[in-house]
Amino acid sequence: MLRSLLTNPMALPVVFPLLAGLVCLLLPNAASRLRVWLAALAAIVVLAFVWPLFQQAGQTWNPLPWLTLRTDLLSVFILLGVAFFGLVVAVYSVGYMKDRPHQRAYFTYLLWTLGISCGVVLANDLLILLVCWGFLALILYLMAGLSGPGAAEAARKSLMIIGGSDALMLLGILIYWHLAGTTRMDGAALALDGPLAYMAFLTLLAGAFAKAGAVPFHSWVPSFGEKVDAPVSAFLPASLDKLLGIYLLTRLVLDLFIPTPGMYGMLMLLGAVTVIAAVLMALVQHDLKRLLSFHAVSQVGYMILGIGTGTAIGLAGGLFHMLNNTVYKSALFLGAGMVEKQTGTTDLDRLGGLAKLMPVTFIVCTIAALSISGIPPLNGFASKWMIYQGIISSGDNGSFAWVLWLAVAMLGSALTLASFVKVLHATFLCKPSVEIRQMEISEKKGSMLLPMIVLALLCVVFGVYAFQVPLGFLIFPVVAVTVPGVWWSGLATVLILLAVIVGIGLYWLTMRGGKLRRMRTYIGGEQMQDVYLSNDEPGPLRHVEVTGVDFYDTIEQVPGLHRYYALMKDRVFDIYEFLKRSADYFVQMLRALHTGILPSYLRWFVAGLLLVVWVVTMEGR
Amino acid sequence: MIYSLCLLLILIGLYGVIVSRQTLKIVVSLLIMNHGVHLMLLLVGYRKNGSPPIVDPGTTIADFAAGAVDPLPQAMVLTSIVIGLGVLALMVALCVRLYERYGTFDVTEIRRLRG
Repeated sequence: MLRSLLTNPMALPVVFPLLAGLVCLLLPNAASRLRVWLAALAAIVVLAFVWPLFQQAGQTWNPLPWLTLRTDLLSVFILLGVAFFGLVVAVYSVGYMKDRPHQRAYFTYLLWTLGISCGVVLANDLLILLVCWGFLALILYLMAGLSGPGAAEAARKSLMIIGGSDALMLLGILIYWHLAGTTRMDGAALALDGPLAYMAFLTLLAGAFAKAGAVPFHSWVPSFGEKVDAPVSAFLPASLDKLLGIYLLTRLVLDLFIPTPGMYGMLMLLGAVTVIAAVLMALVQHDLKRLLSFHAVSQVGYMILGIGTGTAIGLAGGLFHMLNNTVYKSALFLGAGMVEKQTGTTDLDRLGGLAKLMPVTFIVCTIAALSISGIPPLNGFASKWMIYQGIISSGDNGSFAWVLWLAVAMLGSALTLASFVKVLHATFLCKPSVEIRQMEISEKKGSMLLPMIVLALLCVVFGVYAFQVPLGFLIFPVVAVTVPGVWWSGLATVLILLAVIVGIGLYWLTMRGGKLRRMRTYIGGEQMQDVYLSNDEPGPLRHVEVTGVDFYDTIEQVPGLHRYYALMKDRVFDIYEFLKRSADYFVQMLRALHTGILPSYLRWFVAGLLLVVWVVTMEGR
Repeated sequence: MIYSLCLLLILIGLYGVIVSRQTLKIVVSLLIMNHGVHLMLLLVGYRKNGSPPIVDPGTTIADFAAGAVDPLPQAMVLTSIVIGLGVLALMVALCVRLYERYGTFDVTEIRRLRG
């Protein structure tokens, strides 16, 4: 048994990172550089272990009656993603973690997370999956806590929401066991034919939603992303948790249950709400990492929309979008980490002008931002297009709800673009702030740049060769799809390039010859306030600084949205705050009972005793 | 019927424990409860017109079992009375300590458990 743990190809991706993490833990602090490179090497080895599994899906390993591992086409796809993003983050961390505290714990947790995530994907038993799931939540909590005291509250919130959903999942698994007679996942799918089956489905769904960060279990993601170090955010909420959450969701609708049309409708509704609610919040954020986290929530909505269509093309689109999202969202978070490492802040009001100072980061972030906004020919467009097709073909059964979902999805995409225009402008393009100008900034860190460049290249490759590379190798083996209309990205790309060229041409034509008027600066139809005028250049016409966030603040005052933002400020939709308030309520009730007068406690005892006696005598009769 | 007397004693003690605010009164009430229980145990072993449970040299075991009251509850109650004495001493000592600590015998003024 023990030897097979170390030799079986299916056990190795789980056991090896755990052991490597242990080695990282035991290495003395003097060998910290060795540890860093060891972690990166271990991530490469994990990828090497996963690769043969990927090539030969459909294996099972059953060493003990309760321990079964199995790979199928879906799980090897997710497994490859987990190993790949583990490697990306490990390499990035080599540069990022230099001169930072807690390296020993950080790399240990990184490798353990990698191994346990492989365990989640390989598990063929819901109980084993849940155990790994629980350990992941614990390590997520510990890893978030490494980012300093500011992250403690965010870590606690994440642990409460994910841990609470674990308890729900346990309930769901027990009900599933009761109904299906097994917790193995390769059995027959369960029909949703009664309240118990619905309850099992919904509780397991809650686990998947909490992990992936979808409404109503989303509120840990923004807090986590804002406070916790960027590579951790890129690793956990942006890539691994998406992969695992959507993996569970796909398993639920494909293998474990046969969802009813009503359930599919609910999934699409939640997906649409997730898209629009999160992107509206992202629009008005002032912190780069918090803004990105809201997009991490918003993009989950597309995946759920795609999977919720119940059509093959929608499902393939949802999975493809999950893959694409992990690619570009990781790239954005890693870019944000680079910005934070160089400037010490992610506050959009205090950044600016980084395009010249950090050209590679700028290009990577631009590609990723265009990709997340769904600009052809990048990968975000390819998968969103498939999801749109899925939504349209979900209307084949005669209902017209698809029009609404499609409108919401497209609006969400447009708002995503709007908020990324703000990000790119405020971080990279506008005039640098005084603080930035006084800093020595250089981005010469190969280990940090390499993962970002690879991810940006993947954005382009997955978009341009969508059907040849990612869909052909990864997605279509999982979901057999006959694509209704193959979209050819050539024409749109040419049109977009043409528009850009025309724009540049117009700019040159009108700006030539210095026909300029100097006006008070307007932005979005509003006069700039003096707050945003920087004071470093004295003189009558002071240098005007457009931070790019000013315009978006007015969105909060739009009549219809005003109420929404007010409610969000009160955290009405935050399930964590809701639970905290109800817990407080019960605590207050119990406090009122605790008078501290001992005879009154005794009265409660006697009353309870009499009740017990009464129940027992009634029982005997 | 006689058992209801025991119940009455126990209930009187319970009432005293619940209602009284003085620690010493609670102790006395507990003693009353204690004696109610003892009395009940003795009555369980009682036999009407029974002989004392003493084995004389002449009596056989069969005669003894047919005529004597049950000695077991008596032995137990005797033990319990002694233990009760020890518990009483402990309770009184605690009352004295409470008085030294808080300066009162009134339990409603000792509210360290308040939530």
